[in-house]
Amino acid sequence: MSVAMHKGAIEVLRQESDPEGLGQGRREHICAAREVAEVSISAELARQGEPLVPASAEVRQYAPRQEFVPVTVGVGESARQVQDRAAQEQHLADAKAAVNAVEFVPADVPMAETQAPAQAARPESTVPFDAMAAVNAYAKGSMN
Amino acid sequence: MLRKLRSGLSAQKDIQRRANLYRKLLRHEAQIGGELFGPVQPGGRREFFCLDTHTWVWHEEWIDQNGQHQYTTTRYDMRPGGVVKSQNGQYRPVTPQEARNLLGAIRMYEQRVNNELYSFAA
Repeated sequence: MSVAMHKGAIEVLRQESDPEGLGQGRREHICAAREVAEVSISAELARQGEPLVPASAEVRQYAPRQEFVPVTVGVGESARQVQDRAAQEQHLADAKAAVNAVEFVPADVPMAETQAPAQAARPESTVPFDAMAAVNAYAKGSMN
Repeated sequence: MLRKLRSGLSAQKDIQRRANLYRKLLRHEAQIGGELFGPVQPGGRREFFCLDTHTWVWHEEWIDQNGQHQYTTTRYDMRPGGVVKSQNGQYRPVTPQEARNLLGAIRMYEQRVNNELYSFAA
């Protein structure tokens, strides 16, 4: 089937604003298929001991407040001075803890780097399964 | 009676037209799917598409070193517990990298098909 004929199909739908809902139906169908695939592939990877990381990049930062940081009191220091110093040291301790606790969840591999599914060795024998026949049968069946 | 006959024929024509349109859309989707994986060697053909909610198909044709036309059809069945892959009728294991790539391909497929084909659909 030529590209021109395919484009004709799209133009027909576009011009008629998809009155029969073919485009919308197909869109929903693909969305559902993608969701099913996500579940299945996650299960497959978990089964093989390589669970899927979340899709989006997240930086989760924890800033646990440190427990009480002991401050020594210098001779002649006023209470105010001790308080200021304690607050500063507490602040430094919190900042250090936050840096150590940063978690980074890597993003998905960028689209441009997606590679083809690995192919097994190409067999020499001929095949019973005809993809286009399956598509035709499916399309025919879905129109009933 | 003639009127009934005419309306029956017209309805049949509409159904046929709709079926043809649907098949063309599926074929265009398959073509877009094939483009996701980079260039195809000369004389070859590649298609990748969503057959139904639980099945994705990769079909590839090529000319081998002896000039013979070869083809492989890989089918990924999505099951609750994992993915079942069959290639030319034989079951084969899915490697973790392949599973990840497949998921990426499916997401790209949805995006491109929605942008290029169904952006006008509500």
